[in-house]
Amino acid sequence: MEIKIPDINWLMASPIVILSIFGMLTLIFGIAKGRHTKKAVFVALLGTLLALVSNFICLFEFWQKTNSTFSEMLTSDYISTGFNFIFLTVTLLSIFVSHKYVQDENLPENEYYGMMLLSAAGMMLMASTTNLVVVFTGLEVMSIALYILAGIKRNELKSLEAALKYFLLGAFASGFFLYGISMLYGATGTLDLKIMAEIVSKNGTEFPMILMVGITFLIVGFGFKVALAPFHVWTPDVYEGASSPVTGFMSVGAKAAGFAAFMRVFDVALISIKTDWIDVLAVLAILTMVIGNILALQQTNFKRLLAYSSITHAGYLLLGIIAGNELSSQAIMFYLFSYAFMNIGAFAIITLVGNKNEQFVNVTDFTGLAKKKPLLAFLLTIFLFSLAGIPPMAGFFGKYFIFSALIKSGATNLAIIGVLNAVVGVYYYLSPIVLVWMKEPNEVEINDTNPMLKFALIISALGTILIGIFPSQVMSFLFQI
Amino acid sequence: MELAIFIVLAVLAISSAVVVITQKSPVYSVLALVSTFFALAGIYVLLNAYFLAMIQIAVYAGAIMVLFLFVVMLLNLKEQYYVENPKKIIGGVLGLAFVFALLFPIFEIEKNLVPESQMPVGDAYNIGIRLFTDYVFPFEIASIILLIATVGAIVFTKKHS
Repeated sequence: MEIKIPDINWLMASPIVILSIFGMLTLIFGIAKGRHTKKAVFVALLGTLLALVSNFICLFEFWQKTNSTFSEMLTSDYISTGFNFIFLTVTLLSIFVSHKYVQDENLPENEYYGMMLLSAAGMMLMASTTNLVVVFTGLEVMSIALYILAGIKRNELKSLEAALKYFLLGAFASGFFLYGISMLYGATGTLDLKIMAEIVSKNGTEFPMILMVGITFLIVGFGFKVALAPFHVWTPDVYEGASSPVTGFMSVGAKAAGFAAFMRVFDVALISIKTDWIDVLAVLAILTMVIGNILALQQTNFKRLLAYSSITHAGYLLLGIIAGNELSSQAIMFYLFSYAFMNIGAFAIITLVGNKNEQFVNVTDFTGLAKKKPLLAFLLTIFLFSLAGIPPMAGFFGKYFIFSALIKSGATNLAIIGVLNAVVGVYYYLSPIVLVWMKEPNEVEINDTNPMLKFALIISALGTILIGIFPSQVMSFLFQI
Repeated sequence: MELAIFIVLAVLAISSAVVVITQKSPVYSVLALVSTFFALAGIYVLLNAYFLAMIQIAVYAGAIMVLFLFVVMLLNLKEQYYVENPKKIIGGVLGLAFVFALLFPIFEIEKNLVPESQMPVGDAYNIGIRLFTDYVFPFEIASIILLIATVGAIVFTKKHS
């Protein structure tokens, strides 16, 4: 038998390959003795920037039609390039936010940045493939690196608890996900989502029950990774225990990667049997939004507050999956793109105010921030307004696009429930703002000599505002419409 | 004949899996797990997946179970680790429901998905060719997963400087 090596288009693979190589280089730099060990952050930055450039090239090269390479294992289309932008932005901002934190807390720098880059490579894999094997391997690359990042402060009991919880439950969810994949394979005989879409639509309603069980398992697996309601219990503990910059990174990155694959499975492969899974997802979406909102109302720790808020955001994004039309995939990407800026911005401020050992992460520690650091208070207000979805911030248009996609698909009831939840959410985003602006300052000292984090803050704030002011321009750039 | 072998192996696999979760002594649990893995490897052979059967024995029954045994012996667990927990009943009921949910769709499938004559041979040759042509991309990613896991193990165990 002749062995035929598949055609390889290296340009298509370049963002992922560059990021992986630089992730490994960052690790290798740790072996070098002396002054080179402190350079890891620059290697990581260089790698992320190069990956960003190559992703730009991919965007202009491949946006017109879907391209695949490595025998259909790797795909480049507007979904993959758009999501890659999200992941790379998140990585870039997180590196800036982490820089001083990593030095102050004496964390292993090389491993920290190396894991961050490799985890981002895993996220990109999940978004740039239509093959379930690659989705799963990408998921594992991302998750295992995130388990390590969550527990990288290993002298801290809370951090270790976060890592262990995340690891045990995450491994369990990965098992469900893999089982689901095997059942989908059993039902359709293929792992490629595009071929699966043809087979499923050809069979009409005459599909084996094993397909339904497989879909259920996939929902459990995805639900865990993006923190949907019955599978969300790990989220607050992990988000609280992990270091603040890591929490920012994984809250956006893992969610975006999960939804990228979620979107490809449900809105591409299984779209022809939408009526069979739409009810399950609708119930999950409502549960997620309501539970996230109700529990967020009673939080006193800022990181836990944002953890529950991120659960609620997963609920809104799930509404986008339910809509399942052309507009919704763009809306989901737009939402995640703006979410990246505002959420990482918020976590950057928590990192800054939290100070050494994250001692000041309660909402009350932010009391009277405006009197001490007015600019910081202003930026925090921008991020929280955007998370709440108040115009003209980016978060408003994210929600607006999702709800309009939902109405276009005919699910007006769900859109109304979503809007109501967004209104409830405004309450717990505004209560910290009231503390910040209206109350007398407390004695929490804020040490803000941190140029790189400030740079990240400015970028996030600019992103949050500019995306909000020019939403249609951002859309047309991301999707080349 | 094949059916007879299958039934023997399946009964062995399931009964030793039950032993794994009911035994009070962890050492017995681990040994029962080894026999589950051997029985599974036999079932793989019946499915023409020779390579997978070999890997199952080498990796699971060999490497991983030795690690398990080492951990059990190092921790030197006595029987007191075994706590009576009322939640176990809930877990058991849910687990049984789960088993039935999985069994239903399997009984629904009447025909073989792949005719027996067309069943490919899963030996090292065929798997190797697929692995280094069509599946070369996920194969390479698997190496990154291993790298990350190795680094993680070192991060958590390295002496602090």
